[in-house]
Amino acid sequence: MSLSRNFAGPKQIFLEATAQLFRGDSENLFHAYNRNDVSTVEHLRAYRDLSESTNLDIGGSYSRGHSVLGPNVVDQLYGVDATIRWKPLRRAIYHSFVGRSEFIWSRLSEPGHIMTPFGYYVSGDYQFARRWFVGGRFDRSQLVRNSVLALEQDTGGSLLLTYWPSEFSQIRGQLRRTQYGSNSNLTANEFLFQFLFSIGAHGAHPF
Amino acid sequence: MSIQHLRNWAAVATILVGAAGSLNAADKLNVVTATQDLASIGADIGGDKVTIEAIAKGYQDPHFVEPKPSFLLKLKKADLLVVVGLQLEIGWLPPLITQSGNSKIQVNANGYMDMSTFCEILEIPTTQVTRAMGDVHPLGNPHYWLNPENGRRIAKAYQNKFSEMRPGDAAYFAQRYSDFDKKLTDAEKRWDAAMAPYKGRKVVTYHRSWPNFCERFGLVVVDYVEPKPGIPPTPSHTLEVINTMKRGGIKLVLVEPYFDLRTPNSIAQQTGGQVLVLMPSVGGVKEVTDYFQLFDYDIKLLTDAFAKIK
Repeated sequence: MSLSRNFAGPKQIFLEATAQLFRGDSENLFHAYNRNDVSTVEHLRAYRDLSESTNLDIGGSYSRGHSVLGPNVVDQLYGVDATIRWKPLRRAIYHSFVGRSEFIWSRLSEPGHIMTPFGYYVSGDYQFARRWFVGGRFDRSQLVRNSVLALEQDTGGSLLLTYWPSEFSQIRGQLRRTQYGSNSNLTANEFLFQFLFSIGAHGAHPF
Repeated sequence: MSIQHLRNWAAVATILVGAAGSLNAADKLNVVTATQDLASIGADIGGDKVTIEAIAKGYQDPHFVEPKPSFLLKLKKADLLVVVGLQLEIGWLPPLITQSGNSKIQVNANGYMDMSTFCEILEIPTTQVTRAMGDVHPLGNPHYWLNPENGRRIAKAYQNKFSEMRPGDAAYFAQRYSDFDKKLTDAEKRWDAAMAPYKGRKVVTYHRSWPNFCERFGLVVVDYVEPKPGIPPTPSHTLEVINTMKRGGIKLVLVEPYFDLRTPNSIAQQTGGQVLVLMPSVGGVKEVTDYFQLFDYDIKLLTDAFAKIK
């Protein structure tokens, strides 16, 4: 079940509030152990044009549900996010930049014990030609593996190159390096290749 | 009557005048247009009875406008939304209309106005259109405002619409249409005289933005820098364009302000020609602030260039 409402705030700020209620599982995060277990997600977004080429989105979110770690563990997530977009109107089809970041604090609680893992990412995508984009992303997250008693930290970074042959297809190469665990020597270097295509009518593009 | 009484009456009168003023402001028709061209003509007909605002700027490609939430704020309070139509805005306007939640401006509502239905439309495909043909508009070429006769039709459509929405001001809108029509007739004489010596001249254009303009002023478009509408230039097609221009002695490449100039410049260099950045819309450059200045600007650029080329 979802409710969403947008409205004008002060100083030409566009506000959008969304509240969602879920029943069921969400992978690696919430689990419904019985029929009454539901999870919720709330998000408040504030958008403003900084200039005709640049705009800023800032959001705050809250989520709550039963953790996959056990039926007595309740997971609450608090997040803030920001997106800055730049697209010069005269050359909008050739150049643009999108920078995004999100910080999430988690509060895992079970009777007698609380843990507070934290994670974030920062990413940027720059369009340098009509069909070419280059991007980078840095991730760091603390997570609970196997036990609620110990937090581990994974750190990763990616470089991406994307080519759009047409609006219906995308070819992307990604070089990703991830270090699993704060003290382990387990590091993965991966090259990922994606080819995406869609079939359908030329449609309107959601923002 | 004491001085104090006079002051009190003056204060009451000020409040009443102020209230009447704000009623007037609230009574104005709030019009949002897709492009600055439609806003310019709308402002000429609506005068001080309307407030009018455009979404797309004159120097941006109207096919690729980012549908930003700030546009929603404009659409939420609009009484009338005026669009170019013919699917020019298909990539960005439909989600804005839906998300605005404004029932007055939804498609087919009374406050939704598609100006293409009042104008003469060129290049309506007679065969089945597929994406293999590029960004072909299946309902016809949407750059119709670049013929002043269509500008006149747009003005007439505004007059009728404004009069229907504000019957009390119908005479005001009729007078403003009459003034616009006279001004346009005079301007057309000036533009026709300026372009007359160059009738039949051949040009190459970047995109299919100019069929209405060229037909009206007697120019012949022999090829396009784009191999297909909306498809960026390819080396093989660029070579074809160069050969066509060399064979035909064509010296002018007309480019819209939002396209990259590298390929047109390279073509011009190879052919001894010239690249001309013409404005397809009001607001394309600072000095083009209304519909009349749009033609004044483009025709001056063209006639100066033709005069140099001989």
